[in-house]
Amino acid sequence: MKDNNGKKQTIELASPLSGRVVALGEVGDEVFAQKILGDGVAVCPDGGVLYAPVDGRVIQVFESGHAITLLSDEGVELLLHIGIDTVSLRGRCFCVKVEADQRVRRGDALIEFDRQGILDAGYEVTTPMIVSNSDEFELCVLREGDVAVGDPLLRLTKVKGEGRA
Amino acid sequence: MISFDYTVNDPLGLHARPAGLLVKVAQGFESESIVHLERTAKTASLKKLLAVMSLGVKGGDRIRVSVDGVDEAVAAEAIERWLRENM
Repeated sequence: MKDNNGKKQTIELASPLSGRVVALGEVGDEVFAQKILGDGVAVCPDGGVLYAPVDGRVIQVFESGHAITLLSDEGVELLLHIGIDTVSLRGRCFCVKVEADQRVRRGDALIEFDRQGILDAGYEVTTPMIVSNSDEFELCVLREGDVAVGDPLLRLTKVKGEGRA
Repeated sequence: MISFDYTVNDPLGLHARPAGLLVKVAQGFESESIVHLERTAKTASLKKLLAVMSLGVKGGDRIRVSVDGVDEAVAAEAIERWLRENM
């Protein structure tokens, strides 16, 4: 698919975590796995800090600190959700480092989390990174297996003239 | 246009999972639907996930849903039913 002058805008999202790449379809929650929230990828973290994958602005940090939404400078709407069902932790295990409307740069620390505490409480730590406006892009996962913070993880190519089905 | 009020019972409120499912219900209809949160007087389109999540609807919150369009009757009924069954 090409736009009028044949050039496609591509945006690269860096991995927000170090750990292991997990395909979204394998995440243990069907709302994520079935892409109901949008398309993307997940990382099972081995560390305890979530970093910004892109330059942009914080839209919202959930009160319980387990999820954050960002709007990238290129218009990508991102949801980063640490763990599965971790809303139920009501803030335990999470320490938020940013606030709504704050500008962030790729690599800025967003949320510190207690990985072992989350696991001990019986929750998965697999962290989906969801593009909630993924119908505006073609997505390509760039890595599998181990990934480090900042490694290029997701490439988005803007799809022009193609709307929702 | 059809409007109805609803009080959210789920103590976890409209977090990612229910917000995603509710948006999916709303997106299934042509009508525009918006949700107004009484506590903050803020509004969001029910078809936009991040907008809905940004409202921060919590357990106990009172919301008003307004639906406007050719299939508003069916849409409003579906949205209200989903809320009653899930929130």
